[in-house]
Amino acid sequence: MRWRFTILFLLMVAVPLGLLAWLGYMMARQDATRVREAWVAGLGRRIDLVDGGLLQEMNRLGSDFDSLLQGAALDEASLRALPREQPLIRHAFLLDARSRLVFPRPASDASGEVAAFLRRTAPVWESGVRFGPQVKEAPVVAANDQTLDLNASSSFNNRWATYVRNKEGRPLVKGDYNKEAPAPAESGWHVWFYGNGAQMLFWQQRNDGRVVGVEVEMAALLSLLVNRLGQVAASAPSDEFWRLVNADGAMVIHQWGSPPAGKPGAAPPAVRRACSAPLSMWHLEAYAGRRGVPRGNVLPVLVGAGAAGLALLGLAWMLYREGTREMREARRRVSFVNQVSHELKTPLTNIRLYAEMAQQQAEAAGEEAVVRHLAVVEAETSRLGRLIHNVLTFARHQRDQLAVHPQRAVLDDLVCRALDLWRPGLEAKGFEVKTDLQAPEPFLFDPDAVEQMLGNLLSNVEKYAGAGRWLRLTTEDGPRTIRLVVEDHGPGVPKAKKDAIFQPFVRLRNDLAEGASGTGIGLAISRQLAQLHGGGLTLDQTWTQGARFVITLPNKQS
Amino acid sequence: MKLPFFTLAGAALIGALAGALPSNAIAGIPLTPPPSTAPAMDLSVELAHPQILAGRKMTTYLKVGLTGQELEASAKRAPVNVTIVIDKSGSMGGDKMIHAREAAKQALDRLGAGDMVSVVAYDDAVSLISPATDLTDRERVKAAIDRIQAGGSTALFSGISKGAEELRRNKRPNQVNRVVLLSDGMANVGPSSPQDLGRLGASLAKEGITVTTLGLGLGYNEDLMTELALRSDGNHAFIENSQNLAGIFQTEFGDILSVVAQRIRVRVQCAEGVRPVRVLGREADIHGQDVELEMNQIYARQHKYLLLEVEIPEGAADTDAPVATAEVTSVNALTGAENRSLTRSVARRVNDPALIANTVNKAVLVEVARAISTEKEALAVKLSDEGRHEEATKAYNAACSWSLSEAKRLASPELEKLGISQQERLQMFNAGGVSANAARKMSKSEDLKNRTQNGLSSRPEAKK
Repeated sequence: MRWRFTILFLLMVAVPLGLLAWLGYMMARQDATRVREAWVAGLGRRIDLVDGGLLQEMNRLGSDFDSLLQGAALDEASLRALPREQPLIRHAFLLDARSRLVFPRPASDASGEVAAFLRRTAPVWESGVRFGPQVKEAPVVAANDQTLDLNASSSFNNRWATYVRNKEGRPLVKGDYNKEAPAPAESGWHVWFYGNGAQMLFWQQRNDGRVVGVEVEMAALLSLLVNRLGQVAASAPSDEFWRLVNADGAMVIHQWGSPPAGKPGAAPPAVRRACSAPLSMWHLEAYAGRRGVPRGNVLPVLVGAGAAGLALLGLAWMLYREGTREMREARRRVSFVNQVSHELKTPLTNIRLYAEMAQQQAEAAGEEAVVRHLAVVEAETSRLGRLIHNVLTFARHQRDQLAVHPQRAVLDDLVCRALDLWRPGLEAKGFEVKTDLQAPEPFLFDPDAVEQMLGNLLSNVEKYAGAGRWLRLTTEDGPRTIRLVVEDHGPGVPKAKKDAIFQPFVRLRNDLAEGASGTGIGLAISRQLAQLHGGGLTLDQTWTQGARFVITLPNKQS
Repeated sequence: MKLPFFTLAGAALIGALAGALPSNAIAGIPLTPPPSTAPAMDLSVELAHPQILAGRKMTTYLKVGLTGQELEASAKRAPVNVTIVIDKSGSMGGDKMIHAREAAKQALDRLGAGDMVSVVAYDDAVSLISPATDLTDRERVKAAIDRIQAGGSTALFSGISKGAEELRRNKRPNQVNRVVLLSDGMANVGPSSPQDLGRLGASLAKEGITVTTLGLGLGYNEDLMTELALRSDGNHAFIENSQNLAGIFQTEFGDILSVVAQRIRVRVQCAEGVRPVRVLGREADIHGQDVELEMNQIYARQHKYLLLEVEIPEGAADTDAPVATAEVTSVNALTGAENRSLTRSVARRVNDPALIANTVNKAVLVEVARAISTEKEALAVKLSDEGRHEEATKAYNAACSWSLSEAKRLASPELEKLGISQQERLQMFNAGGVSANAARKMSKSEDLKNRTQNGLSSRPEAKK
């Protein structure tokens, strides 16, 4: 009873709680995925913006170089003066129409800056690239590595790419119509690798086929771009970490945002993309910042699940308290009744003793009326005794202390003895009592318990089957079981109640008119006693003339 | 302004010119009369050997010297535009940062109305502590400086870039533009090779921006810091103890405030037949007969020079050998006026070796000896970097003995001082470990000072 209640209670609480937790977890996970996807998409958009900013800067620089070179005189002094005045120019060069270097003139005895320039740019001239409109399909016009995916190899030294600048506002009509104002010259960038990183040239083809160009001062260009990125950084969300790295990721050119807790670069970037041409040798990387990848707001889910869980727990607690309180209450009542019954036993015994003595004296005195009155007192006293016995038995059962004490006895003797006690009362009520006793052999059973069962059944007959005025007691001896059958011609038990009558405190008629004629525990404890024997107490459904109760006892001999 | 050395050298030079030289041996003849406004600096063109042996090809040294003029105490000075770039990486924690903040704040007090200042700090990323502003609200800038906290790694390239950007925001002609970088560490974010930073310095110099680098403690990368200062004509100092920071900042700001001329271009045109062999110490462009050198600025009383080794063709005795014409253009820092002066240098061919010996210009030879000694020491550092310890020790010894023997020959206390300091560095180098690290930093700092005549003393009290 107790543990069943506990299991039920646990199921009632644990299952919904588990379900709630699982639901909450799933919701939070789904939310986290959604938030992460949105975050990555946002990073992608911002990478485009950053890249656009760099591209804009490069376009501006390209236009500046274009106009600078367009107006530049091509004599040695002017070309030498270019890098002296321009922070972004490291060296200038001039190619003739056949792509041969005329300034600085390649000479074996060159020294200083010129020699250094020739060393740096040697891969460019050796690659045989020709700067001009013939390399026109933008953006990559000619490259020995179309993708310029510089991740692929650790050695960059023989890689290069040339880009023709996409110029806007280029006149649609070219040629003779525009003789006065020459069409803007073809120009572009050239990227190659030397020393510790990417190097860049800006070239411009003159109308006569000569190419004038400048070597970009990479440190100054980086400085320019870094400052441009600094403006971007100011408007970036605070919890992101960005890096501009060279292709193999070995060198961080610039980084901004809040660096993640671990070593930057330890975790792979959330988004990584090569910059647009001509800066394709560099990559932009976006990472989660110090607070990690945004996880979405789990608070509502937590609060919802938590509140529901708490409500459930509260409800369960209340129910549990209520349940245990009722049980405690019931136990208290039973124990009270038990105590009262105990207290009643002693006076009852005395009453019975003195009533019997008085009856004998009255018989001796021949006072018929007194004898009759005392017989009633005795009958009522034994009824009360049975009641108390039942109550005490029930209480023992409640405390799981009910037991039977089998001993060798003869059932028929017990039935005769009991019937002798009952017969006067029954016959006084007009009952026709019949017996058919067929169990004369002794076997093992608890006579007190069987007498209590029989008493309860007979008491029921007396109480409820008075209208039938008929009672038959039958015993049957079998090899395995011995049956004791009590039949009457009373109103019987309705079909719907055939099981309920064996439950404690269930009575067929609960009306007050019936009076305090029973406690509703007689059949329950009778069945309990029969089952303790290893047998049973059943209501025979085939008997239609009234009620027929059958006590089955195992024919135990040892 | 600077070290007492330069003043002494100037005095020795004047003495030599006045006494030792015969009056007819005129080494420098000014061709242009001085402009009506007083020039911000003096130009001198001298030959190590004003008299050379006739009938032979001779090699000698031509020195083009520039001396910034004294600023009058009451005179106005050029407005300055300064960015202080502070390394706030983790290693700058504790006393270093406290001293750096104090030094920066004290330095601010030397600036006045019309000056612009900004403060940039960097660790993993660069942050603008105080954007370019005039000093109407000095306290706000100081409060911003006080909020700098150390932590993180070092994005030096971005720090310099941001500093320069702040300068550009308020760039006006006729203004002294300066980035003062204070770092105690390596650059590990962004381009971080000495070459890269050197190129950045060179590019900034073209914009008229000078970078002064202050290396604090023993952890910084001296190659990178000296290269940056060298290419942008800035000062450099190795500061072992952060307590000296305030003094260094004062000296640096003293320099910034005493700029007398900017955008100095020296062009030496060698006469026909004269071959420019090489420039000592500095990196100048030599193409054909032309030698070109640019300097960002010169401070009051600073003496800067160009040493050119020249080969003079043979000729008959008692003839003049035209050597070169030196043309110096500069912009007066205060007035913004462009000055141009032209001086021709002529050597006299004679037959008498004694006369040649008597007329030797010892002051020039001292500078030459210093330049060569510096080269020798640089070689020792290079050898040591390559792990050739024994050869490095040998080269260090060679530098010391060269300095000391030249000091004796030329009776130069300055060279002797250099030789002794080299000996000290040799001892530190041989001691190895931390002390060798310090020796290397001192060498680099000395190297820069001797090559560009720019340098801050790490012991300001010794200056007085």
